[in-house]
Amino acid sequence: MTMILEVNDLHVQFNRPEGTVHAVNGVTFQVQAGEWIGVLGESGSGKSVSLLSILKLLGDSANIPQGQARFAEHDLLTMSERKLRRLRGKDIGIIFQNLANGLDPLMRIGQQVIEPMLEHNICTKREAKRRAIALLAEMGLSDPESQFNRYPFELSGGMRQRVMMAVALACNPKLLIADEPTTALDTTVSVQVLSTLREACERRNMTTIMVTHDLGVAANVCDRVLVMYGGMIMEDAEIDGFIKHPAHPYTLGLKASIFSLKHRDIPLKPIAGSAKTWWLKPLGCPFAERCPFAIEKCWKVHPDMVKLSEQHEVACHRSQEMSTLVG
Amino acid sequence: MLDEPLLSLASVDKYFRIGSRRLHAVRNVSFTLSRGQTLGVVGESGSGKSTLGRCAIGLLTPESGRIQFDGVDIHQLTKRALRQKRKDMQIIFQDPIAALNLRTTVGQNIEDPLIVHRLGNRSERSRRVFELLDSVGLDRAHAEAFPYELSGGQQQRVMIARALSVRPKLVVCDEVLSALDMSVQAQIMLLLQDLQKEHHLSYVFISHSLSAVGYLSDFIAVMYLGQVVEYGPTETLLDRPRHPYTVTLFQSVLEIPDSKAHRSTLETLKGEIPSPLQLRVGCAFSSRCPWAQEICRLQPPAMTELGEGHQVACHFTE
Amino acid sequence: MVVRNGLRGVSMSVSTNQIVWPMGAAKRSSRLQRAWSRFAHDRMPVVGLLWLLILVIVAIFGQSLAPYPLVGDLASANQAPSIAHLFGTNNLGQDMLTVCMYGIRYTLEVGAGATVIAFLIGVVIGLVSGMAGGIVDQILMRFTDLMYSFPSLLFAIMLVQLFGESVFSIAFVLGITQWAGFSRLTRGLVLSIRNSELVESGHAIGATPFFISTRYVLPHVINSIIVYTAFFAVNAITLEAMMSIFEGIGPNPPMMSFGSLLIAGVPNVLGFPWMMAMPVLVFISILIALVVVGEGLQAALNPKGTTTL
Repeated sequence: MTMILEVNDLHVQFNRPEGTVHAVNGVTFQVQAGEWIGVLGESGSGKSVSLLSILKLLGDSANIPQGQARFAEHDLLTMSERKLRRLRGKDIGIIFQNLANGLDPLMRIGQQVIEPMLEHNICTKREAKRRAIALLAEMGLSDPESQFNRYPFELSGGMRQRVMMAVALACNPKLLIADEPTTALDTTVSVQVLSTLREACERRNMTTIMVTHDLGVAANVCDRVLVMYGGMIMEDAEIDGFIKHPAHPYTLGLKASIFSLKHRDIPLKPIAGSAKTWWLKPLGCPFAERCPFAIEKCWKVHPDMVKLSEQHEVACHRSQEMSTLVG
Repeated sequence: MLDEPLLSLASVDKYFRIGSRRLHAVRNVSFTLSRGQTLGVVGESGSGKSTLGRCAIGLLTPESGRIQFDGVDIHQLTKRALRQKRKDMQIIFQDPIAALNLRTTVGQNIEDPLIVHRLGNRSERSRRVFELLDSVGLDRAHAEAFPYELSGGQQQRVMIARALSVRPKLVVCDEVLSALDMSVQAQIMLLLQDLQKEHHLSYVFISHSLSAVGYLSDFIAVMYLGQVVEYGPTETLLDRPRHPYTVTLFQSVLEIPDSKAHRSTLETLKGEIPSPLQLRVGCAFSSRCPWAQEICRLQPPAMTELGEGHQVACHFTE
Repeated sequence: MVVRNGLRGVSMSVSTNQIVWPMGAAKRSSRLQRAWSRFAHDRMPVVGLLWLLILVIVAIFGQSLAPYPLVGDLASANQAPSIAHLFGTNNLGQDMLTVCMYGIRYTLEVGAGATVIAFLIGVVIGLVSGMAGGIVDQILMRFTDLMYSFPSLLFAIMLVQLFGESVFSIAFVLGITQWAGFSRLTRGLVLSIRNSELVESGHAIGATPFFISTRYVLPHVINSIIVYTAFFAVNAITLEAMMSIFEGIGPNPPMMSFGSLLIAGVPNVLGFPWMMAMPVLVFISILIALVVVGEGLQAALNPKGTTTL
């Protein structure tokens, strides 16, 4: 297996008039070619920021004081803006959460699918159109020839998301980053879109990183899950391990706070408190203040990743005793 | 007295005018809700569930149908009488930051309904505000904070305290969880449950999430394009969903599987909700229903009683 | 294109992260203090505000602060600016600094009076119109449009003939002819939040339209109106000057408004440029001060996400 993306000790901060927000505080992970990774976390966990920052998509208020990110043979953080632009959209496709922002409202949808292909000189205009129609059809747009000339506002939310997927896949990227691709969609539509996306990625053997806040989505779609909290990775697990033996108190807490149709009789056990904005860098474990198992060490020392098995790591001081603590 | 329902809707219809066209937001909806019980209304966007919730407490006036609350037809009331009646029926909105007054403190936000209904003098009101903050799990010090200084979950707690300040009998919860983080959703859900027991409240719990509705409700109404397509006691409806749309909703719920091998196949119905502006003759769901027959496209199905209060609007209930 | 989309997409995904104030800090610094820090973030508004304060003090105590009596000494006519006469003197021998100090009072009185009156009329009409909707809105807005399209300077000049040329009457006339902007702005702002969940939550607790208008709607639209007010004051002062320039409406000599100072300066502009330049500079400084204060208010009163202009 080849490594396609390698992020090392990434830190991201936002400068706001009120102070500095420490959004990502030391994130390290590797992505193997062909994997489908889910980055799971609540708002403010740094899950989107850590991915978008390495592509320099966060504007001027974000800065990266520390860290490395390598994509294939490129060093993303030291690259010039021009070279990076050649990479984005061509080798790295991006799907955004917000439907209204992801597409240009004044441009016909077909044109938007064609544009990245022309911009990156992949093929001729005629060929691009042929590919765009095929792509829209693959994404599940019925009658793509006639839809080709429509504007985004004429489409439903689900259809717009499909167009956005087609734009992201237009240049056959090696890596796809999907930022909450189904959050804005209705339940039944979101499952359709996920299924289309997964099939399209499998067909291309495309590496995918999907940011999501939905535990159900992550558990049903991804091969590997990174759980983030307070700008750090709490747990990094292959899916079977993640489902069967979640090891971090935060992951356990999330699992105990979701409503289940199958197990309505199991009482909810929500995590106390709520996620906060990090105006100061977390000193120890960011989850300590909400963790029922926190000991003094958790407040003071940042936990390192501990290997539980070949494909399961967790950042918790008490990972060895966790199974007995939970009971 | 005990058996008399707190809220009953009979054939309620609501239209909106969009330009020259007419959007039929709620179609012929009837249900009853007893004291201390919860009706869950589940549906996707455009199903009319929020409109229904607003009609039920008189924030919107339906075109036809009757809404009986606590023994009175609320749309027969004068504006003034309806305003006074609001004391008994409250609503909690989806996005607390949009519904709270950001220019005043949390305490004043909670106090507003008391001022409006002239309940107590200044010191009695502030005592009540503290009491309410306690009961929704907030700090008394929060009374002095401004809503935007709180987290999303705390803001929603303020919304709940505000709604409960006038001791209502009915609370409409309109997507109260969807703006919140997962771990906080469960907190708010438990709070709603506790408050219901404590104050013998009735809820109309509106949500797009079948699992959330399943958690809190005694009865569930599944809505599609303005219509209730299936209605029944929670256990019955969740164990034996009969309408194809309810079944689809079921398949769309992504539960945490027991292992990788048990993951969802992500197979569900194709297609999306048609525009509610479109005219239609037959069953609303016929355009997506895999079992749709000729009759489904021509004739709208009537609600059929299946027993134990379980009703379904489908030509093929078997 | 992907990049462009990207930027738009991302600004969204970041702002959805809850921005919670640093709790400790927020508790101690009040809303007013925070508004002030935004106001003072840029130095210009502070300088402008300071200048306005100085002018107000001059306006109030002008008579006692002025270096010379208002009536001039013909012996010292047409003098260039010097240590003795900082702004020079005019053809009547009046000390221009003294004339300006008297003139400021008049200008500020008219400006403030007109602004207050227009503000009250315009905001009430706009608020009622926006909240009531329907036929009430129709009638009030047609009336507003009428006021807007009518050549109001002409109208004001006519009314001044009717009410006389006192400071109060000029302020009053300017106020009752110029409020249309306030009412259009207010109505627009009200309409933008009339269907918001905020107003709906007001209805939901059973509040009366009056309660909702005053406690929920007005506080949310007032910031933008206050900003407009600063710019309106600029306009009112300019109109007053125009009235005195073109119609000679204003105070009688030896008292002079800035408008009349300008007219008096025009014939002498070649030989004695200070006669016009000095009053013009003071006048422009008032306008600029109001504009920068207006901009400062805009920053102070519209922190991100709480108000839309």
